[in-house]
Amino acid sequence: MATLTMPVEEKKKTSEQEALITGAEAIAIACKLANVDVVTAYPIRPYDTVMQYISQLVADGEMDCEYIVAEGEHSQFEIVKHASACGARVFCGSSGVGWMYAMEALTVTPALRLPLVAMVGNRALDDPGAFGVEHNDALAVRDLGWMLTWVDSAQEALDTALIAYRVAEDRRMFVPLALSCDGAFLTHSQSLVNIPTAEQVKKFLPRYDRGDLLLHPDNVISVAPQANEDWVMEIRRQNFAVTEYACDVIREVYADFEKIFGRKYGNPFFEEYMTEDAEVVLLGMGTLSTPVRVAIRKLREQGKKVGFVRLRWFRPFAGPEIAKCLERFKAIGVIDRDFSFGSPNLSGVVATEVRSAMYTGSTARPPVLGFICGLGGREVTVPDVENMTEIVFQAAKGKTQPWTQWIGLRG
Amino acid sequence: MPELVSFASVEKFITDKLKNPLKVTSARTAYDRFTAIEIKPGQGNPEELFNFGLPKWEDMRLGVSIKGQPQGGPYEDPVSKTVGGFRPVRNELFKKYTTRTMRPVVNFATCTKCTLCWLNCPDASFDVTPDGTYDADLKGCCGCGICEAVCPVKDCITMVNESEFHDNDSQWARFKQDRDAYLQWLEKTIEEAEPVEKRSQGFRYRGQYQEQVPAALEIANKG
Repeated sequence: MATLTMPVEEKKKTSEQEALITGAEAIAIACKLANVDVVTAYPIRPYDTVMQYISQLVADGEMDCEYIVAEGEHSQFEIVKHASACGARVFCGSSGVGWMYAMEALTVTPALRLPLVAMVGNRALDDPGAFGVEHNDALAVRDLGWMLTWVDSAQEALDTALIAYRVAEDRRMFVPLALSCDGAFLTHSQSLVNIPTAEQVKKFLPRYDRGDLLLHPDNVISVAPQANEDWVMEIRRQNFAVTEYACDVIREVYADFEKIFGRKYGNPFFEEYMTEDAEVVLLGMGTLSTPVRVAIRKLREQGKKVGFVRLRWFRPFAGPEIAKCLERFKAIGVIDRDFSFGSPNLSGVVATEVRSAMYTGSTARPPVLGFICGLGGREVTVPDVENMTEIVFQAAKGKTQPWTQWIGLRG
Repeated sequence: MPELVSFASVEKFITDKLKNPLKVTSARTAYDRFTAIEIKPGQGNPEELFNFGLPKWEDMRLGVSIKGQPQGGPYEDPVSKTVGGFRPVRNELFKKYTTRTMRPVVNFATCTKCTLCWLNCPDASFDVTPDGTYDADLKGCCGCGICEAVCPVKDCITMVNESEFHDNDSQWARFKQDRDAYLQWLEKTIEEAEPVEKRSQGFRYRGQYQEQVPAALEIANKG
């Protein structure tokens, strides 16, 4: 659960209700509050619970939007892409290979500067078709200009969905955002969520205004013509320009969120847990934070000084901030709930990115160990975390450890 | 000078294949008429035909979008100043008039506004005037003659030799400015124009293509 720093009495003042809901339902409620105009759906587990919750809201008359069940994820993402080009606030989502099926639409969406907010219910890629969580599906678009964020609680899912619309539809940004919720562990598990009021959301979210990029008969433009080698680099450079200030926009939006909703997230890019006096830290994304925190509290009782950094924003990657945070520790263990076969040191995606950030962001060279854990929905158990922590402590003592280890594997 | 095929081999080919000494003489006469001039790099026509400016990335529109072409609209009668009709916005780079050998001259007094010239023009080179008649835009017109062929009114559209003209000004504007002078000029121009039947290029009448294809096929088959 995200650490809420507000006392209980104040919570009651700022929210209309408290509900016991799943992560997917929290996102559906965020869509309702954000007054989404067009929702496209195509069933694939575990994202499709959000599809079902939204359809229930529409059927009950609580939400007014175009709800289109497409004939496949490719169409699903194409429809919202075009709806967004015509000025509609849109929501979409998928999981695993469904997300991969939409890949053509996913690659063009950032290039066309369309602020689509998509929920990825992280699911293991086929084959085998496990329904459990693995981050590779969302990570597949990491180079294309999508913003990527991971949440670990239903409250954070709802809040981040609202933040997502504000960030994506900011005129300086206009890039799509994939909000990742771990399949089953977050999409299908319930926790208490404070649901903000419509008035608060109205203050926070301005109307989506596409300006002179709007596709409309009165604004005669052509969008996405074929271009040759004379144009491609300049077009890509325009997207690059966004990444240069994306972190500033995100900081701005979180500050505004805190002012209006009263919930303080502090540093938007990552959350630190018991890192103040830690000797070593673990780093990861998503719901593995729960067993990690439990394990850390246990280890602390044994006198082991370990902390945890939970990365929220993967794209944009706040490299300098990460490096400044991590450089003081004796060793770092990155838990990847993903794989990246053939990568440097055979590590997962997050470990490789953290190492890259450390290389340029700091002269300190603490060992950054990679752990591959929890693929396909396999639990990251408390003993697993204790095991990983022990390995990291060994590295901190100067005992060389392998750069990548698979944890919780039989064999 | 680089030669792909020597003239001697051409002569030999004509002698062997066609066995006609007159053709050899004819080939040699044509060959002797030509002067070869060597053009070095940097020589030749210095005119820059096209210059497409390539903008910097900061100056380009976002989202891989480009502003659409304006669509055109009604325009002004040069005399009465009433606005009407439709003149489409045409591509400034479309310079088909440079290869034109003949151009249409229009009798706006006898035009029945049947729209056939406007419909059938392959380059959409007709403007709808504020009067509702049809005026050929001479910057885009390539001089194919389809408008003359489809016009149902005698002497309403006539294709005349392009070399008599030195501008692409609107004929309808001239007609509105001085109707009588224009009609007199038109009558004289039509009289002096080469009759359609004698013309060797362009479209002349409906059904012309259907007639000519079998004849052309026959020639091709016979050799």
